[in-house]
Amino acid sequence: MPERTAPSFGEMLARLVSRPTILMEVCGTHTVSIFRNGIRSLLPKELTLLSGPGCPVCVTDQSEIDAALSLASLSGVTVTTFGDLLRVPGRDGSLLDARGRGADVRIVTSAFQALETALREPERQVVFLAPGFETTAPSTAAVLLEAAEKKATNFSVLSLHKLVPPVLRVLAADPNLAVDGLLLPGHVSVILGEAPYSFLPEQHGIACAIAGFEAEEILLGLTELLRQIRTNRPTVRSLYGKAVRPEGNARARELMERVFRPVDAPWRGLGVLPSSGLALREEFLPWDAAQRFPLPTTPAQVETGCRCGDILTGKLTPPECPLFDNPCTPASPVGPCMVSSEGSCAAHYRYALRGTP
Amino acid sequence: MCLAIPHRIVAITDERTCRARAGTAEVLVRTDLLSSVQIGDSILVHAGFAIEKLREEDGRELESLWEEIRALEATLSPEPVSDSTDIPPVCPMAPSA
Repeated sequence: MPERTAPSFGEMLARLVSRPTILMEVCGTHTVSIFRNGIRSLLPKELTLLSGPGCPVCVTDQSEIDAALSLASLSGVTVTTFGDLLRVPGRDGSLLDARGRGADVRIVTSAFQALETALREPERQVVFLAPGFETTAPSTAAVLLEAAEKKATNFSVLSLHKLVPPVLRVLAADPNLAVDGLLLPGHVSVILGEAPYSFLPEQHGIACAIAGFEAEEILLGLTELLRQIRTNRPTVRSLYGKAVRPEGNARARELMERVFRPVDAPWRGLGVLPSSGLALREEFLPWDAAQRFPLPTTPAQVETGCRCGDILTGKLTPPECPLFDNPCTPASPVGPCMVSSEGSCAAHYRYALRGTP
Repeated sequence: MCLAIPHRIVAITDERTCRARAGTAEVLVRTDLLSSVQIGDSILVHAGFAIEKLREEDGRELESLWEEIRALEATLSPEPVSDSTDIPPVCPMAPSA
């Protein structure tokens, strides 16, 4: 028998795809890894891979940035948050611009650093702007519990947290977006487990695979999605078992549910989505920046021509946005998909347009 | 933003913090989100918090998936990609030896 070699992933994907197929990666970290590793170059022409709304910075609404800018303008207030959020434009510039004008805006890498700042500087009112999905919300919850325990009255949180299953529910029901399969976010799934996604295959016939972030793990996830589609047996399957337990992290969810309650929330370009955000429960309202400080109520949305909403839902690819590359670039971003390193516009610009790693 | 990095716990600092190492970097990590940790545990760290303990991979997951792919392929191709243990494994991720 002549010796044969194992097929490459590209060959395997080409053999499994039997019709024009649309897959979407939901997580921004997947988006970057797909570009960085040249995975798109391996895809057969029948397979379209879209980037979804999986970058928390990108989906932070202009109204939320405006609220943050309003907080930063108050005397005696220190605003703390993760670095990516600083450059997202609001109605009157970004938090970075505000810092340039003298506002006390500081970067932290963890919510607990924000609380430490408050404990160290009792004369300041320290606000933590808390973006992020289910991966990040439990850590904010843990810090709020600690703030309550330590009676840190000069600490508060502006919750910008958002939830992944509700936005997937909206995408799945969108008749203009016929997605056959979803590459689900690995680290959101560490917290959620598999069950919260079950409506996708059961109600919408969408194939689902939870995958890690290395090139081989992503390719394996895409292969599994095509296998489910080819056999017409959509399900939720995890291929990231070293980190994701089927039941998720129950303790993290318990902390999150103790501190937060689901609320309707604004998503950049998508509008207000039902039960897709997290607000502090009544017991924690003394630490809610939205209660402690006056915030703008309904700020006018600025019309920039930015198509981030269409890009976040896979209706447009970044180069199809009229602002892409001119004038919107990572150095001078118009919309948040170009701001965050995990935004699909920034990834296209860096890896596909410029071709530099 | 949901980036999480594997670390190894090198010291338990108190009931909700540990010191953990990734490469040459050693950092303070909160362990509030895990029910128990001990020195030597491999943990996944996101935004300063351990969000899960990592398990050693035993390959069963991949093996099982690839068996299913092989079975499917056999129904698609006139000639199956692999039907003998004498030829290289179908799985592109499988070890070469």
